[in-house]
Amino acid sequence: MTIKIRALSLRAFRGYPGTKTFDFGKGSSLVLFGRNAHGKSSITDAFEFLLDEYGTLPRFGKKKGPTTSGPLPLRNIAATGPSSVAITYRSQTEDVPCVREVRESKSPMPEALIPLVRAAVVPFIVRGPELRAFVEQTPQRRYEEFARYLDASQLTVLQRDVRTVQMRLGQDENRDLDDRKKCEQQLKAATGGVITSWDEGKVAGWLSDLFKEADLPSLAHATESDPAIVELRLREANERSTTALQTLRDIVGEVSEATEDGPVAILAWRKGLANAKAAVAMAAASIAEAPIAEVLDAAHAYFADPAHSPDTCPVCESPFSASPHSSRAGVRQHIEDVRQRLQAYTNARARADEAAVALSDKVEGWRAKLVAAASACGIPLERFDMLVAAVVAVADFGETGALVDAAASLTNEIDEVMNTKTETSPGRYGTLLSRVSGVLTLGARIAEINSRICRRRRHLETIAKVRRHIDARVHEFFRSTVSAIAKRTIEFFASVQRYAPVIADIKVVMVDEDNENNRGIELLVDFDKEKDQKPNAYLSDSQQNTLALGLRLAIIRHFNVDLPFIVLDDVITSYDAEAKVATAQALVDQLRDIQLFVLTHDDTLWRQLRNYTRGDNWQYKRIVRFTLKDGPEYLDEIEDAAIIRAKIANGEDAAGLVRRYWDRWLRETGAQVGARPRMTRPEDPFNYNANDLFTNIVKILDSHGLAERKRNDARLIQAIRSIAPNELPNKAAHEAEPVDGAPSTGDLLALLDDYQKIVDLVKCHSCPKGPKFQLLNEHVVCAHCGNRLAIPTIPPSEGGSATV
Amino acid sequence: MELFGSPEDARRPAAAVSAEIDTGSSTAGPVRAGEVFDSLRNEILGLSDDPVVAILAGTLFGEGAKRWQAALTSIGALLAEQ
Repeated sequence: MTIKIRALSLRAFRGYPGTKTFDFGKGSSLVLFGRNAHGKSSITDAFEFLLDEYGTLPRFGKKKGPTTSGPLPLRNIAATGPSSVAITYRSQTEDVPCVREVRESKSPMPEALIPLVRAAVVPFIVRGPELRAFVEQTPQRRYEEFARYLDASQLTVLQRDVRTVQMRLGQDENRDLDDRKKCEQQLKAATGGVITSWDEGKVAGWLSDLFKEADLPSLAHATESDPAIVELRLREANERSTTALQTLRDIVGEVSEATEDGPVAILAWRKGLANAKAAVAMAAASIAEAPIAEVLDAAHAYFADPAHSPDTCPVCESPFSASPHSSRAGVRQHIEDVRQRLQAYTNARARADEAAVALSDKVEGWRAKLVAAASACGIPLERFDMLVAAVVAVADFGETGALVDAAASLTNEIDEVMNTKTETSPGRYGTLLSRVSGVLTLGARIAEINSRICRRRRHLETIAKVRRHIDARVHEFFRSTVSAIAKRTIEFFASVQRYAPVIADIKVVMVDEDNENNRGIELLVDFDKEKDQKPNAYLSDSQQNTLALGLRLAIIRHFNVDLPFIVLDDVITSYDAEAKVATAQALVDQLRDIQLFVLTHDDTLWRQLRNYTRGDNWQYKRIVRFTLKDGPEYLDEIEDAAIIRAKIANGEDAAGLVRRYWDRWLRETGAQVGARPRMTRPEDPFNYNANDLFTNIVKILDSHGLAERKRNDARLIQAIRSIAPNELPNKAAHEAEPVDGAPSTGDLLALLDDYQKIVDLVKCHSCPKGPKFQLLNEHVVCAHCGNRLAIPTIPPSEGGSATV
Repeated sequence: MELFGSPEDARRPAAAVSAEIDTGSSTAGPVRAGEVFDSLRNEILGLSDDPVVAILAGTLFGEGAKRWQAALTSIGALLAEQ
């Protein structure tokens, strides 16, 4: 499905207050000349607006803000009606018309535009000022852009994911390496600096030295199953068992040691309880001795008699003043005394309870130690029931007889078992085993880490293999794209640079394919002996511009396969005449399958494109005037004479145009009729003797029919004689204002009239395509229609025959 | 300034139909990114019998976000098993 642009219409849009329609027929290209600020780029803006998601220009922003204007400036300031852009494009066999209106807020994308938007994978508008940035862009950015245009996000995500897996596993390995390092540091510390990394042979040797000191056999292997280690464990168990029995014996002995008064420890535990109980008894006696009955009786009688004066003592019935209890304070003292005795009793009871609990705790604590020690020795707890009962009996009731016997019996049993054990230094093997176990544990941990690292490395190798495969395929995919784009870029650059004294080799290459962060598409130049240099280091401004233009065109052509349409908006700057000619020819020759919309303020480029494409499917337009009220005024006439007359009418200098107009006519007509100009400088094909060429053309035309007409046409002879191709000063072509010696406006118009007479003489009036003649049967005929040269009839005049 | 236009340009719907390229071979024909992606899965499975290959092919070519995490989890389980 190839899309062609058939028409574009701007209404009240940007620089156009009215409606301006460009009709491209079946898809012709267009070159439009317009000076700066004459409404040329409004057309570029129209395309940009049509394809924008929000219906604005990106540089305007979505809405009005501190640094953005929103879409409002798209509307022409002099217009009053609605503003819109209409486009008609041909897709397959039908024309699709579509209109998009400018709105203050988001303008929805018309459905009819969507196929066009989809076909525009990359923006097809190339603006001159952007080109330098395009060359100077980073390779990484180019790569990202390419990936997006290729719809290759799946592939780049796949590349990123496999790298992430690889990186994370690498991080896991680093953690394992750190752990191993820590283990080795611990190993070094545990071996007193002898072993710094796990080496089973070395560790076995070091352990053998330790074992020798402990009268143990040497090790063959530093493993738990080594006979020396097994022996060490047996000895350590024996040592631990002896120690446990000794502990058990001590615990039994703790309660059974006795004097005449009984078991020392338990009696000591009981002492607190006994004292507490004595205190309770004393407090109880004190309460018994207290005058509680008297106090209660006196109080009862006193308060029972309603007539009793409160001034009389309730104890001795005398006035308070005479009573030994003489006051209320005395009664209160009695009562307080009783209360304190009661409190003392209560306190004594509480302390007695605490002492009982403390005694119980002591007994229970001892019992717990006994249980632990018995368990450590593997002796059933039932064997200690009698002893425990005896201890409780002593504790609770002070009955000591059973305890001594039970303890003695158990102690004897323990002693008998202990006598069967090998004598050893307490803790000797335990300490050694602890040290050995620490080293072997570290060894096992290091071995486990090493094994994991080894397995992970195998996985990492596999992942690297997968990654390389994915990268190779993705890079192949990208490289083929880059290759296609590079080919076209290089062709365009070489074509434009054919007049340059030194032509650099251009490369468009992928770089750092394996480095995700630096992967990119690089532009490089080989300049003389300097290879693979950045373009801005060795290329001139115009060369960089050409390179950027070539790359941009190549990318658009590559990606927008369904939309062979490109807008070029003032894409050449700082170009000399030869480079402009070469650019025009390169654009036409290499983009024959592309519908071009060339906007330029460069007259040479416009003329070169017009001359080079004349007769092809091209349109040529010029903006000759611009006013706010009416907008751009177009001149669709392609004849130079009309353009020159419009310029002269506009008050603009046109001397250069007149000279070039005549030069071009001479060259083209001379080429068509076989007249060859004499080159004044062979290396410069545009610098010729115009007078000689004109004379040659007239001579040749004379031999094919012109002379016959001249014989009867004095005005024709005058016109031919009046032409003096070299009279117009060349310098006027480049001067904005007339200079001394430059022709006046009147002179220019007169000169143009003279030229026009000759042009009209050899113009084919049967077809509109201008002079294109060939010699046929000794007559000059029009190459387009085959008609013989038709010199128009000029009214009889001052006449007379004449010759040139 | 954007390389190929403005950020808004870049956000316009990408045309997958246009993302085909010439491989440079007259017989290979155009290749699309999706086709490369699809064929890569089978190519990777054919690289080796290593279970890690099967894990990568089974996770990284699937749906959803953070597919690498699923791959890492599976590889972690494989390491623990071994």
